[in-house]
Amino acid sequence: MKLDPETIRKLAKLTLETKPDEITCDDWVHRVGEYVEATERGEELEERLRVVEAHTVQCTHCAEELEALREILGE
Amino acid sequence: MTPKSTQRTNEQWLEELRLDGAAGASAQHALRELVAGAVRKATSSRGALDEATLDDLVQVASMHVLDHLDRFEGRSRFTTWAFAVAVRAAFSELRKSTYRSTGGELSTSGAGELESETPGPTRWAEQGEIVEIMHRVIADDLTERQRKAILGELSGASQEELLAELGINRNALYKLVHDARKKLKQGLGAAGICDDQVRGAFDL
Repeated sequence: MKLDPETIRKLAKLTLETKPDEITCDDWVHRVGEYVEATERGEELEERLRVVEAHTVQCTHCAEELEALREILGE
Repeated sequence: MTPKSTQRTNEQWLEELRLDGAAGASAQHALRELVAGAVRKATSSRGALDEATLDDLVQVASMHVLDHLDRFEGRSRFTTWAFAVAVRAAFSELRKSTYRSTGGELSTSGAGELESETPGPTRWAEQGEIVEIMHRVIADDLTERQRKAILGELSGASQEELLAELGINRNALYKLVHDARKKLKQGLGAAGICDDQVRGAFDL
């Protein structure tokens, strides 16, 4: 497999944003509702919700589900 | 949506959904109505789905919510949590269905292998040291499964393809890729490359 420049750039970005402790997709789905409501209220995020945000950056499927959730909630 | 469904508190939802008999059935019906609306809205941008498929998705999603009531911690509205769980179930079903309809063929014949690309003469060359370290970590430090997982994702393979290929679930795949990213980060750090250098080299 050839890693072209754009793929390397993407990998570099994902590597930079890697945290030592990241939650799984399973933990994410049970916290994302809380995350959405907290961001709706403009609250400063607690650590347990910052990791939701960090996971969303790394996981395209969860990002897609977050977008759908916001659509459902009418954001 | 019945008036009662909008008036239930989180505690009432949990209590009534766990009841047997008519009271439980009423709450479950109200939940299904809410899930149906959510699934229809969430899938509306994913192409036209026939009524039978939508009904199946609503059924799967509703059952998934009911099966995971113990995971609701009461930190959000119950309905917000339920919508998130329902979307997860519905989208997972749709992704599996799409994967099955393609015959389960992997679109990433090269996933799991690595071929170095020689840095070019201009900007690519400026990134050369970082690229070389990343290639080295991928080739030497990652396990075969970590390599397959991260290269598969980078090559655009669907998650269902990778799950089938590796024989694992979504959480395990995420962990494999996370461990791979951590090794890449450690490799760059061990080589004296700081985050700002990476940002600068790739305009991140």
